[in-house]
Amino acid sequence: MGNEFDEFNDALGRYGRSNEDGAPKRIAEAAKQLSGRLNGLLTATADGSDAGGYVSATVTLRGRIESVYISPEAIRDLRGQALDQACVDAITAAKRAGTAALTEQLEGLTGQRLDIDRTA
Amino acid sequence: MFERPSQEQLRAALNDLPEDLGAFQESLRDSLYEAASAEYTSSAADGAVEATCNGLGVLISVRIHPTARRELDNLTLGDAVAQAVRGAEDAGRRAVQERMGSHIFGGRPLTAFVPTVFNDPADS
Repeated sequence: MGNEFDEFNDALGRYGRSNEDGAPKRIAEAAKQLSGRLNGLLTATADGSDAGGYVSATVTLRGRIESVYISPEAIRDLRGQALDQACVDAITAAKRAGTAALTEQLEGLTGQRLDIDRTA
Repeated sequence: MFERPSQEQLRAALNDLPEDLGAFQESLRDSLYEAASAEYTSSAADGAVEATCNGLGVLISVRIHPTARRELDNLTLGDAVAQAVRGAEDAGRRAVQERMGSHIFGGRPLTAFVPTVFNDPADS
């Protein structure tokens, strides 16, 4: 049995050009299942940290910041803008990890390689 | 329940399409580029922590004021950074959505055509 993406494609193929009364509903149901699966994927999380390991961040695969952890060593060792930059680096690393994880999940779902870059 | 649009509804939607699709595309592209490349700043901890993102949610900077380093413990400081970044991302995303919503296609704002699965749940 295929996954939700396969079932959606199957529904499009069977009912996309059909004049059956129930055809739009079947496509809509398959789309809803696929949407539910995608929503589930996007709630997973990924982590990243700055090069020194002083700050770590967690983001959802949707790209939203879940949390930032600043270590006591960061407060002690990083002066001025160094702590600011460590926060940026950690969050950027987490987002890149999230992009990679999302790409892998979508590839598994669709069977196609996707090129997604949500960090500049 | 899904309902097929009537012929009248389809005809009305076709009539609402832009007459000059090229100009519409160019206007949309310029508008979205402007919103996406602008900077959006949000703060937390009574302004002691600031974060700046662009309209695409790319984090540009974090600024932790000396008062925040003095007054907040490391855990609270991390929470403040996360809150500031979320605020900046939200501001950028809403600006882009507003620009899309201001462009009408087929009688509907463009935001109506964007898959909602990638919307933030906080927006629903």
